[in-house]
Amino acid sequence: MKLLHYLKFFLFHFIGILSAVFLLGGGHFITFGFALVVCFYMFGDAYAGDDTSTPDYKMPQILTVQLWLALPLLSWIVFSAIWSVLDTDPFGYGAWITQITGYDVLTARASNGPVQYIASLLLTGLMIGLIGTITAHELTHRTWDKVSMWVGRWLLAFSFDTIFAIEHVYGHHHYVATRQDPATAPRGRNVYFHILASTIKGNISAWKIEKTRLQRSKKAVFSWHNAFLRGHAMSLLLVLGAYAIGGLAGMLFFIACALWGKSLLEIVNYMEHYGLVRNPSEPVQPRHSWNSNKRISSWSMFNLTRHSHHHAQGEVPYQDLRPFPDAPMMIGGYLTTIVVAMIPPLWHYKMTPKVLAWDEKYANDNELKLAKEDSLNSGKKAFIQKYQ
Amino acid sequence: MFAFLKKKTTHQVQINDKAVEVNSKETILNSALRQGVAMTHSCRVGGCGTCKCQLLEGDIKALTDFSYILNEEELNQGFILACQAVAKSDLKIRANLSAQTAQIQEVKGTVAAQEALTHDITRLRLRMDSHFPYQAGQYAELAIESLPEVFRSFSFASPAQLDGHLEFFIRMVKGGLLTEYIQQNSLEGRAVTVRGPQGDFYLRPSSAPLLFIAGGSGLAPIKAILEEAQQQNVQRDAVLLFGARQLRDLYLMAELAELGARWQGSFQLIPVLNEEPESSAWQGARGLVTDHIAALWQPTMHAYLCGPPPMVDAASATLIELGMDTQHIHSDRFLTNNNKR
Repeated sequence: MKLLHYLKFFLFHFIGILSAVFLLGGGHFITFGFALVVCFYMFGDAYAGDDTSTPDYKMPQILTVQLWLALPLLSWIVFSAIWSVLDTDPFGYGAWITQITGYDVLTARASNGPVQYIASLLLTGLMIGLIGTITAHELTHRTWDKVSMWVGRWLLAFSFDTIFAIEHVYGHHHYVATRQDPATAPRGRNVYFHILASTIKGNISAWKIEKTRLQRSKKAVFSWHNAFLRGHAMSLLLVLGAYAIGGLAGMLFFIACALWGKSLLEIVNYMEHYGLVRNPSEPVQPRHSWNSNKRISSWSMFNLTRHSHHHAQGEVPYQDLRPFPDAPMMIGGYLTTIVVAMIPPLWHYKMTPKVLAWDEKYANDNELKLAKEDSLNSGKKAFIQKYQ
Repeated sequence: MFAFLKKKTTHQVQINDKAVEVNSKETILNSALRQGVAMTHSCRVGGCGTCKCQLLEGDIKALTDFSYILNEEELNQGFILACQAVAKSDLKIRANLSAQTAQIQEVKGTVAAQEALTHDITRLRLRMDSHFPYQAGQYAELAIESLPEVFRSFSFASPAQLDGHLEFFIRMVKGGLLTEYIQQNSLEGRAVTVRGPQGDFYLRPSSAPLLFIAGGSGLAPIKAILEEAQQQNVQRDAVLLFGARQLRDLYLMAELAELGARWQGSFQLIPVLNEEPESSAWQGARGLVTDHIAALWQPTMHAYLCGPPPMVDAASATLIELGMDTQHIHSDRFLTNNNKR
């Protein structure tokens, strides 16, 4: 069954193509399509169990090409999404699809109303997160591979997040589970606050890191050498592209999709390290991430779910990450956990006991001290009571 | 992208006074850690600078832009990040080695799981408070909270794990304070202290076929060595002779067969029983492990022996008689008196 281990990582391509088809199908296709994708992940993870296999890949280059394919795929999805909210038919795209498929996408599109626009936005943002950010995460870790870095940064531009390629590797991986890390959410924090705080602090941190690097290598801070500025220029180019395709409406729609995509990343950051603590002078261990081995999430997100090993040994390519069944476990698969995180009372109800159990089971003496301070500052009764 | 087309080459790296061998597919940090040179490190993606070291001689390929982490002065002095450097020639490096190699550390933890492997061998899985680096094949001293200061030595039964889990096989020694206690009590959740690592029994880099000979709980370090070698894609033919008294003393056979199925190279597992009644259903090899060495022996083999001293000594003598160079015979004799096992 070696073949399956290559095929399983095509799951996101499959879901991506399906999503583009739903967007083009118009009307109920969009609303039900979005519902179908969400249900597929939530029920899939609930019923398909865990994948803890660690196969040997003889041809990892196939997997790399799989990742690169995300860029044309995401471009197509986003183009189709913008097209789906327009009245015009840029490049005669709709007419062409109608001609080759025999399905009249232009008439179908005419039935789209506000409900479809919202579903289309949610679905497209989800694809930007799934196909764009997660793939880019893997690719931009490969700092030695120019092609992967290029593809990865363009994927990130779809969520205005090219700074991720700087902040994540040189910031987050250094500071994870400490107070210095913008992406680690302290106990008691609300996810919506985290989206804002982590975005702003992440940008500031990336700017500082990039500025320091340029100064050290004696290059001008305001020049094309600056990856922070170059990256945001790439996002701007995409926004202008959206304007060229769909005017103001197309541009605003794309911006909304991109911001939703970026929010998804920050929600994922929130889930991956919520409430965990580490003394900055001690090395990163598997216990400093919430792990998940859910099958559908793992296949679709190529083992981003095996987050405990990823942080403890960031140089390992995703196909070689190990499941670490003894690591602290997330409450469910990724999409399920995202939904729970977006309902703060439910999140705190589920996670407070898990974080407190982490203190008892995993924390060392230094971490217990930090856990106590953070709990008392959390503003959440259950945390405070435990440590008073 | 086309790096996979390049042939794997190896270089010698001198890190302070220690020599390690690195190949073109791995970073200097990874090869050093793999060969028991504990360079200080933390994030392993070039984000923290803990593994910075000074390149004194040779050429490297940088996997990331070092100026994200190293300042101008450091860059000028030839500092590099070991976790983001691949050797392009033989190298000489000056580095911080973590205290872990220089001195033995003492780490606390708890018993995560306990399982009876045979009527007198118990598997203990421990969760330690911090990462505990060692090389597969080495051993450590172990004490349990209820018997403080009663330290006994046991070999690690699995390779070092990032999540700080350790595994030991404990054979009950009649009258042995600690081993009897472990055999007779349920220990899950109990606090433990581990002191180590110690010992120079570990797999030496080579491409020679391997002959492993284990007796009783001597299977522990051999299992750890096999698992570690497998993680590192070692492609050497291997034979494992496992000596036990009776059928009831055999353990881990399914686990080892599974490991053998995935082993990159030929793999043969031969259990040998010396006290199994003639009338039993046992179809496998009988007698002493030493009786079976000659039939398996190849002149290019390197041997790793572990178990009770009489077995190790007899096997060693047999190998020398067959013509094996003593430098290719590595052994760990499990002593039951004083402090050893």
